[in-house]
Amino acid sequence: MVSMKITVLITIAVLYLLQLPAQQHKPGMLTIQFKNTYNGQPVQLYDSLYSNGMNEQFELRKLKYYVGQVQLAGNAIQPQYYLINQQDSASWYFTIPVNPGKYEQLSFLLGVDSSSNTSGAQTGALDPLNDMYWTWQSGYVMIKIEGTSPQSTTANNKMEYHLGGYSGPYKVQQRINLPFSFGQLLHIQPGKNTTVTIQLQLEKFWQQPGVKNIAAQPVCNTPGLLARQLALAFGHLFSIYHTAQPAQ
Amino acid sequence: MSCVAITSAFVMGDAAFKPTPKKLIIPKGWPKPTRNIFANNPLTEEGIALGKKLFYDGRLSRDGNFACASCHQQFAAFANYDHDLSHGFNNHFTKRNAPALFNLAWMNEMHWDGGINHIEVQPLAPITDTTEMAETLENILKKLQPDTAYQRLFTAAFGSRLINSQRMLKALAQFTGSIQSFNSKYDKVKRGAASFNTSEAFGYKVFKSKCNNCHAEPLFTTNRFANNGLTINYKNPDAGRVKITGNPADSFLFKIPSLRNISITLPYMHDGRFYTLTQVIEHYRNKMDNKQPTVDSLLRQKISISNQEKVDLLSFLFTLTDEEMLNSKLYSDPAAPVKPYSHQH
Repeated sequence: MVSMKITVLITIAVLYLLQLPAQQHKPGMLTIQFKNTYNGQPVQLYDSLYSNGMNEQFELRKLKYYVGQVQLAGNAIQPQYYLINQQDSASWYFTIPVNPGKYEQLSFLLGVDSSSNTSGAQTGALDPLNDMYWTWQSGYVMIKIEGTSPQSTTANNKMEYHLGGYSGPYKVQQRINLPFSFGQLLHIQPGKNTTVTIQLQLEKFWQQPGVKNIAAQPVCNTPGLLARQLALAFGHLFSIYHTAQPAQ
Repeated sequence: MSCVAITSAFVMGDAAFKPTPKKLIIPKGWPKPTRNIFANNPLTEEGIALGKKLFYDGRLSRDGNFACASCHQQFAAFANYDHDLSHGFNNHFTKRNAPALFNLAWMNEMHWDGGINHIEVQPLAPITDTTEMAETLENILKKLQPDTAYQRLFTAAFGSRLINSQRMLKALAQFTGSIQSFNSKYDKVKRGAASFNTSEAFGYKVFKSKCNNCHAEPLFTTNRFANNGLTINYKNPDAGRVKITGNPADSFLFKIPSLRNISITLPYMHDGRFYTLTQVIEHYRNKMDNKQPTVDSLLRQKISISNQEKVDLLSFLFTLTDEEMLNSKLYSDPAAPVKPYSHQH
């Protein structure tokens, strides 16, 4: 009888102890916000004539890209994908649950992984309705930059970079790792929301190796070496802009 | 109050959602498909029925005239009978010959150039191509969503009235993926239920020694890509598979099509240049341009086929026609009259 009581007590104690870390590990929330800028100002579609630093001007009509599989070290990769669309401010941010803790870096996949490109019809951000899916050849356009430039030699002066290709040496999806600067680690607290703003500095695109001026390279709309080079260049444009920690 | 009603309706709908599972038939002696195309899209009677209605519905095209079935006709094994190129929106011709559709569960890459990597995303190409159906997914969904018949069919197939692109594409894949051809005279001979006549039997021998490397039994294709030495068609230039892979060695390679139902899938080749099987055999034994650098190694010497062998081979090829599939109600237009011109006594 006594031993049974002890057993019950021990069981309760063990259950209680097991529960403690669970409470401490009530997830925090991380909001990631993408801020697409040109020379420090938010990118304007249609209304602004930009200079690319190569004596060329252009106007933008579309700026869209996929991000997904967000990960903080020690956390499971978040499976979701998001389409960041400059046209739609509601698409610029999203919120995910993460384990509390201090983190040195945040990483995400720029683009769409191979399996999501090959496993049939998807929905949500990956719905082919979103104008980011090739029809003549299966696969996602992972980054889309469209506009016009007087220097473009194409019909209607189009400038059009549709960057995709999910397999082989020219795949464009890539993991972007963004470190938090020393002394400013990302601190996720249980039950609280922290916002990290990631900046995309589009003007730097034309400073990357492999990116030529618009006149020489106005269009890329097939997978291949050029798409890969341009996508890698695009991947270099991201950095941590700001972290808004909740009050302690 | 209405909220409660809606919620309970959904709950009831969910509980009542029991679609009837269907199984792909794997005929005796056939290999298993190397990939299960229904892994994330369980085959059900309701899913197939919805897919069939979509397949025969002109509303999937911009002007209502071009259903999938307008270029994929059942009596032609879902190829486009007697059309080298098909007719599409606004008097356009399509770029390539419409392929026959059957046994697609054994085909991992669609299109003559293999550019499509999954049956579910295949319809996106003809739907959006401005020379084919010339429509957008948004518009199709706008047309289907208010339609109560579709609301019922989507609910039966997927458990709720939600009509989105993923469900539409999965339903189409269930229908096209379940079109199967395995009841030709050849199949019956293989099962011991029929026998070849003398010419067919000789033709089968010719086939096995001269054609089977590329058009391998029982699917009558390896689904490989090959350049079969067609002269370059300068009016409709098409480099084939290289457009997808970027590899120059893939220039002028096209998918090897199945020979099943070949007697009624004329015209032949990716551009439909040959209208008769005699022309096709003439190509392989004589007219082929076998000097092109990417011509398949099996065709470098052309194929030697005597006149007698040619006659027998044709006899054999005619045994590959599957009348049961061509006439099966499983695959026919659900809106069509049962027997169009039959006498009613």
